Amino acid sequence: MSDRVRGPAATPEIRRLEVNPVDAVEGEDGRGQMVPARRPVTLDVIADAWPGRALDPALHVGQELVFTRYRHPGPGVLRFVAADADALPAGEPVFLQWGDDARSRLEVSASLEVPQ
Amino acid sequence: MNVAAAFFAPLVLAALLTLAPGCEGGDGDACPDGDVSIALECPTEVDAGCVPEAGAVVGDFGVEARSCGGVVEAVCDPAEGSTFAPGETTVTCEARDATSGEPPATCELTVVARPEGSFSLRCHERVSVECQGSLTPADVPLPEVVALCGSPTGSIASDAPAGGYPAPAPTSETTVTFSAASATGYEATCATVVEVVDTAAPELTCPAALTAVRTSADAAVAPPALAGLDQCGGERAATAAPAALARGTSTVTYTAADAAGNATSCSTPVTVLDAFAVTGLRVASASLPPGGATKVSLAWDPAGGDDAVGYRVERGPGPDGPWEALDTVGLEALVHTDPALADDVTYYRVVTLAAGGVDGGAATLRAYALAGGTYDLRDQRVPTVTFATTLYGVARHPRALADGPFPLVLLLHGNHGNCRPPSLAWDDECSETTDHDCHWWGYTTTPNAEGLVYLAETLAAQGVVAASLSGNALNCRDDYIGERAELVIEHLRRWAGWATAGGSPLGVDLAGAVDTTRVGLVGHSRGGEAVALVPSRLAATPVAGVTVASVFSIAPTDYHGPVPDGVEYAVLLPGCDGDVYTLEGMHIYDRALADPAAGVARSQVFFPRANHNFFSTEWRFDDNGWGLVCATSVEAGDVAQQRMLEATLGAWFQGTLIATGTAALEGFLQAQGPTPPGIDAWVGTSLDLRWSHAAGSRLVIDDLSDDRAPAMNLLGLPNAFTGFTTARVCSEAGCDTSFPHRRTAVLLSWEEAAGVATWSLGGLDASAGEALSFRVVSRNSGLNAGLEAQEFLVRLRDTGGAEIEVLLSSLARVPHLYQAYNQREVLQTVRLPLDEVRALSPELDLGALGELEIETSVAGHESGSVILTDVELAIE
Repeated sequence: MSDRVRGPAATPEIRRLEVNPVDAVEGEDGRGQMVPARRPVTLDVIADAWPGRALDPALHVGQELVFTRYRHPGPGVLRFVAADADALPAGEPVFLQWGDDARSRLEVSASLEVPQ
Repeated sequence: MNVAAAFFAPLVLAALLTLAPGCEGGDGDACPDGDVSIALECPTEVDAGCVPEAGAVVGDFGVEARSCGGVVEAVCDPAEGSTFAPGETTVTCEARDATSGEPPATCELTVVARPEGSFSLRCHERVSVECQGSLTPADVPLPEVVALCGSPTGSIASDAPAGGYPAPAPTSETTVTFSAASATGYEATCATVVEVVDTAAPELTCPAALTAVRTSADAAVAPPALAGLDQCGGERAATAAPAALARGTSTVTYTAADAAGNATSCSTPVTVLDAFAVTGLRVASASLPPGGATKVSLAWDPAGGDDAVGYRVERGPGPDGPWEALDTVGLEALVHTDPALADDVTYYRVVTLAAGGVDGGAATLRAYALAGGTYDLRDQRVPTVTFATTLYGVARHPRALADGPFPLVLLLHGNHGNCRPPSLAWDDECSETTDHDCHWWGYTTTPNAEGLVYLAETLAAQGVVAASLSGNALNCRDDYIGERAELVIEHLRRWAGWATAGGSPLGVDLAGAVDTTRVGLVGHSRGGEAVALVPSRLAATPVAGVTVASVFSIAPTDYHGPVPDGVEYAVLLPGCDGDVYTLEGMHIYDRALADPAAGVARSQVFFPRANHNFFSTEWRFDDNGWGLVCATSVEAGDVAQQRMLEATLGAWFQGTLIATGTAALEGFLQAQGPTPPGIDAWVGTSLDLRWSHAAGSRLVIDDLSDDRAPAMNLLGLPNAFTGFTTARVCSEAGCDTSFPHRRTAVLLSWEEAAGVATWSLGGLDASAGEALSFRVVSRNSGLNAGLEAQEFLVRLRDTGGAEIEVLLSSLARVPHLYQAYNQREVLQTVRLPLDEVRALSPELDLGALGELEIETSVAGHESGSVILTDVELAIE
């Protein structure tokens, strides 16, 4: 190995999930579509750092919802925008997974808290 | 009466009184027998002595006239007592008997009157000298002077040539004329012929022994040249017998002959050594350190020839030298690095050395010194990108742009963090940016484009203008692969403009230096999928002056199913890829096989020990982590991965972009033959590369896609599978969970039995083809337990029954999987070159092929399982 190599890629260390209202015109419905926002919220997965990789991260909320359109508005922030907070399954587990790589699954929250 | 007449008078009177023989006086006595004829005798010559120019009187000629019949009188004309001038005068005399009436008698004489002052020169008739060169000096004796009535005053002159006499061609005779004059003005000349002869044979000396070198296996070797030295003709090339030599020691007889046919011979032992030129000489790597000189590493494959002992590496300014020796190395050395190219264009020559320091065959290579720069165009519009963004490229090109136009290669990295934290101990992080830069406080911009510049440098040294592009603004967003393709196309649009109108932002005039009708694209990860998308985007919306010829994807994603139609396409799959662990780049390859008459080649290389990230020098963390996909101990490492890619990419673009004319891909890129030893040497480890290859034009015999498969192939002819425990058509997970190819194939298993799989070819005329091939992979099955590599028989038979049978291992090594935790069954091509069939079995009629078979009856491989598909005839 050359001295440029720094060792194994680290898995992001998830710190918390923040769900906050946001002023948005549209958001994801968690079923693959962008829809007009009803009660939009940001789903911010806060970690020590978010490196990039070939596969995209997807936020799995509960059993049925998968959010795929993300942004990185600041260091350590991976943000998804849900169109309707009321459609989010409060209390359900939330995890991240990169593409179909089940080994990459990272638990984000054992129980989703949705602001009222 | 003058004095002369008085002097000569008695001689005249004597003529009046001379009687015919037998007669007694002149008084009319009767002649014996009645003979009354007249006898007249003249002297041949009357010497008048030395006479003045006015002449002298000559009185008595001494003519005798006789007659028995009477008195006769000789009358001469000119008469005696006449004045004779210097020279020779013919006098005619006549005697007539007035009484007898007999016919007169006549005679002639010559009065010789020598001029006063006369003399003669008596030359040697001929002088012969031995040739001593083109001109030979000769000592021609002066003539003898014969003083007649005088002698020459002054010296005797001659017209002898000053420089000497010419060599025989084939003869040489020169007439030398001597002349002299006396005081009276009398002149005399004479001549000597000077002949130059060559009777001496050339000198020829054979050395004690000679050495000759055969520089290639099919080269005929003539004995070393030898020359004799001929005294007359100078150096004379000697003929040799025998004229052609085989390896070993032979006695050669040399003969040197001159133009006169004189010859000399000698003999000497001549030893022929085999020291062939190296093959596969290539630029393995090039780099341009900041502010430094271009560094180039060469690699080559070992020279053939049993007498090769090493190599001498040289460089020079031109293909014919003059050569400066850089290093002399042993046979084990297959790499040389020149740390600093001094000239814009440098030629390298690797000379194979034979024993005794004799030069054998040589191979030459050209390398370009590099220059480069970066362009950074802000607020640019790119189709489908919703924000103004940056066109940023790090370019490398030959310093000698005037040698162009050069093909253009653009490289695009993949999705990766675009913000670099303050400590290099941390990985790059993702940020949202619309331009090239990271805007987070305390971070710097990740040099993603710079991560592929090492490839741009290696290509540029081979005669390419290359630029590694920044996709930082498109990174860290979901997908954005189509946008990446449009980014590449926008860069191409700009390059086409710079190549025609000039005015590039690099500070050099690119007009005429770049050929955008010969474009190659390289992409890594999402960049790999993006460049595979470009051909279809350009087909739909062409860019004037831009034609993409060749695309190479490194560990690409396959989000959008690109089909790289109309371009030569290659894909690299890393076996320790912890990111795109599904190796979905193979789907791009498999889809690219759809048109067998497309005229463009496809290659896929599976590199088991490589990870995803280390193909970029700036992606510094191992995506395989602590061993996600394979044990970290089996990984080849960043240096080996990058070197493998430099050499492989260079070979790929040499065959598909750089070389013009009937350039062909190197064998290893066509799944024919192992990785060149020079590349292994450059990489530093033996590379276990498994190649798939589909020729540009081919006949698909069977891909198991027919509804009647496996019983029928695509030629509409029957297949047969006997002795197998399993012979079924499957695809992807339908074969087994380790088989990722979305491609129909036949799964074959055998247990303690010989299975025979037969594809009927129905008299197929393969005489114009290059190779028969199929793709195969060893299955992740207990039937292959303990196996290192598959082995079975491959058999080809013509309709007449002539056949050839070879072991699989003689064609290709098909390893049993690879070291990884979740091994994937990646197909590789096994290729049977038809040239080899012709050589091994000349009686087999390639114009009427009957069957292709594989038989699993090799000892030690009584049980096994493989998946096989894509049985093809490569036409070109």
